[in-house]
Amino acid sequence: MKFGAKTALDRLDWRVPEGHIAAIMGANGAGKTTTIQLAVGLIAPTAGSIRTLGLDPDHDRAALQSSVGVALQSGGLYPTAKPRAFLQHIARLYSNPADVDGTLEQLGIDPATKTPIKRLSGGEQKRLACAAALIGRPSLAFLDEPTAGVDPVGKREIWSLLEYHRANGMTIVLSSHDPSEVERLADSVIVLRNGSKVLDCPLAHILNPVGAITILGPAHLDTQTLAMALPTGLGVFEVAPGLYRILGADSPAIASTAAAWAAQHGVSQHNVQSDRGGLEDLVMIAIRGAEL
Amino acid sequence: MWELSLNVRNGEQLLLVVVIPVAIFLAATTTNFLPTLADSPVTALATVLTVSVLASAFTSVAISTAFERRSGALLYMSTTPLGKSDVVLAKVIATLFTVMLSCGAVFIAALATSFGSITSMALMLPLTLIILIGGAVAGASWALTLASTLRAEGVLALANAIFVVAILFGGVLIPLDQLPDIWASIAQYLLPGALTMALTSVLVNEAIDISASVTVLIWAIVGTIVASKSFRWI
Repeated sequence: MKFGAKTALDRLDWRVPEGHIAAIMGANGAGKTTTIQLAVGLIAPTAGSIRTLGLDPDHDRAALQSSVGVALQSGGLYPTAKPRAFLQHIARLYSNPADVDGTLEQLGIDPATKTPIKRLSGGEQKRLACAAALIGRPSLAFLDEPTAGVDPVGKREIWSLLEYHRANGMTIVLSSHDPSEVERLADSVIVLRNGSKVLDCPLAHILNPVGAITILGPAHLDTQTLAMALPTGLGVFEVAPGLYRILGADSPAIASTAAAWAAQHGVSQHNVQSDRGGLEDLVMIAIRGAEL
Repeated sequence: MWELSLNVRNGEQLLLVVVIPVAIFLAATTTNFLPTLADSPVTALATVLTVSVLASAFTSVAISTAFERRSGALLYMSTTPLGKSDVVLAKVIATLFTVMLSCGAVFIAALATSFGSITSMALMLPLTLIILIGGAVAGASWALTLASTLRAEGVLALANAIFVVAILFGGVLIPLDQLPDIWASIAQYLLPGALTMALTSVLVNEAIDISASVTVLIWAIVGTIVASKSFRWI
């Protein structure tokens, strides 16, 4: 996807399974918003193809819109409208909407408030944008940074609402800068850097409460030899080409086994790193790996 | 309905589309500040209907659309099941309602103050309505083009400035024959002047001013084409 001479997204190949929450991470300008705008047909790709719920979002946009909910990063809420009236208006556009007052209460917004949207706080506006994306109970929702600028309580309210809808079969694609949000919500994550995908894997291949080791080396090494050298029960995954993750690594012995395997494949010691088994360190390593 | 309720509940817009035209009509017919209108309520009606169309179809639409574009509301609504075409349709219907609201208010003011002279032209109402709709389409299409071209604050300033200049020097409140000849020869082919002439001809002379009516139609057709090419959602 190009804007003028700038390539905003480069050969992004990505699928989201039904009923999943999938997260897009990456620095500002990495291509997160462009990905969402392409998927909902707000912009057309300069090359390649996109299928959203099996439809071409550029050509079949009208058919797609009744099944898709969107929360734009910039809001898009009518500034002079009242929150409840706005949400009711959006709900009426869908055939089987959720309860408007219930949704507002779930997000901590008083349904009786007379405050126009433009006087709500930034966090409240974000919550309302989420509510608008989900109120029609679409089968697929795209949320562009749904919790940016939202306080911790508000974040949890949004997360609970998203988890509720996933439990009822909704597929959700969200962009985020918050590793703890993605760890809590997402089933899978991609990380973009300058429009290219540098990580694409299930969260189950990343997270471990005990700890993890990440190795940055050549792509597609034989991980079987490493798995056999390690104690049984530890997961070894190539989470992106050349990025290997050992889950459950909690001892110096495991660390030295990993280092030895890495050395056999010509990987230097400083590209073998232990972390707490979270997402944040891995995202940083994935982005650094792409820069090497 | 949503578009319309937003229009109607916005106090500044109501001031623009109802209060200002009615106030101009009452001032024109009860005082002598515009001598050509003071003596003829029907001429005043024809003139102030142009003010209504410019206020409700041009200035109001340009400003509200520009701010909806800036807030991302237009783009957001285009992602809902309404889609792009229905967003435009809703805007067109809401605009026509607002134009009728504005013109209706002026009609009521005219009936209330000058009942006898106004009822005599009742037969010309259908033709008047057609010209008003033509003027509304022309005004709204150029409003959408303006709203898609500049930043919201720029649109706010320019749409209001064009409104004031148009009603004062566009052959509306001050007749074309009282304007400098060179300017009058241009202004008769601009929308405010042509719309005033078309309405005046129908309501006052009970005749169709072909040249003025065709000019309004051309502004509407060219405006619609330009707006459909230039309209921007974001």
